Amino acid sequence: MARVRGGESAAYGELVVLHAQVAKRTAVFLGAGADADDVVQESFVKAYRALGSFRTGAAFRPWLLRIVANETRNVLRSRSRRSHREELAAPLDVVLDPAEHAVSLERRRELLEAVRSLPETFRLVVTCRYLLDLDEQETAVVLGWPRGTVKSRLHRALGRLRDSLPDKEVQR
Amino acid sequence: MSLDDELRALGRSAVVPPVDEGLTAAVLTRVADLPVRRSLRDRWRTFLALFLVLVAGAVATPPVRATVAEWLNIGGVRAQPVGSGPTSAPTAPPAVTGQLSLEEAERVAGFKPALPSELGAPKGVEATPGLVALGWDGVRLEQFRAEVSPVYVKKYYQTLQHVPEVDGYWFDTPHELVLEDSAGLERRVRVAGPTLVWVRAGVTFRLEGVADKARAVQFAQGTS
Repeated sequence: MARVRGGESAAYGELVVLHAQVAKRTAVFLGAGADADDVVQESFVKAYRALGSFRTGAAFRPWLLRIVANETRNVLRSRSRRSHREELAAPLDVVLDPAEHAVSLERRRELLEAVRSLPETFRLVVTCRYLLDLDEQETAVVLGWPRGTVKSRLHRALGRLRDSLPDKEVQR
Repeated sequence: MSLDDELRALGRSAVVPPVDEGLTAAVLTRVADLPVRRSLRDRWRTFLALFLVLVAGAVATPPVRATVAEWLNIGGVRAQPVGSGPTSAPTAPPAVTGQLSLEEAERVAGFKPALPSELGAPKGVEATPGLVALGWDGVRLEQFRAEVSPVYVKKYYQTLQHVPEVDGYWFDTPHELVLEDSAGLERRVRVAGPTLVWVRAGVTFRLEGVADKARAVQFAQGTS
């Protein structure tokens, strides 16, 4: 990081390689769809320009993901202006890997559907904290909310999910 | 398994295609000529570099999405070229109606506002933390700490002239004035007429309402 800020732009390439996949995952989970690669590229360029405002010692990942989240929102907004008829990618438009055995495919489909139908703030907090597996602090940075808000919304989101799911996990 | 662990498993099993192979190369190409935003002192150097890029036309004209590479930061003002000009006519700068004294403005803003000697005492003075607006008949001079958020985004579509006398920029055509908040959201304020923007000692100056460039530059030089 110090090298990048010292003006060594090539060193930035290492950061790009390191964080590209999680950036793309975030963009796709938040609804960028086919624009995900553009969002990621745009975000890395914006992040580079804004490195001056990056606090030394802070974590790069959540800071970058926040830019990705904002960028995705911009894309979604300009897209909805452009055309309503186009086939649009929605948040959490993802394919599930049938080979994951920890939780059955059927159950995962059910969960995905339940998360997708949450109100936006709840969906966002569940997406960041669990689907992307960020910690509470990182989630707060990405969404730009105070940590307490993350905690309470997460709690309420889980409650909603439990209510909306056909069978509770304990009964399975 | 608890619900949160199930959700984590769900997230892990969501298939996301690998990132575009050319990503790193594309990013590095685009940032190669862009200096990292640094402190204001350093920004003077980046100023010149960006200006040279602009003059050399080194940046190819890409589609809308890539305009970020052409942004030009002038203190707290960012200039961003767009394909076409605003469709509505520029409106006159809003009159400064506040009646603070210069001392009160200094206390509110946190810095001492500079005055253009040629215009005499301002008819109106307004201030918010980090910003002072001074008004004369039809003329508006704003001064703000370059790092204040929100910053202005000017969308210009024709030419942007460097003004070596004050190391600033002259927006000679009507352009959209947009405010950007800390979350990066843009809000269109209005269409502005010719404006001179320059930075001195960490403060960004926006002079609007003087249609003649030579006169505007003269005012800027006489501001202290």
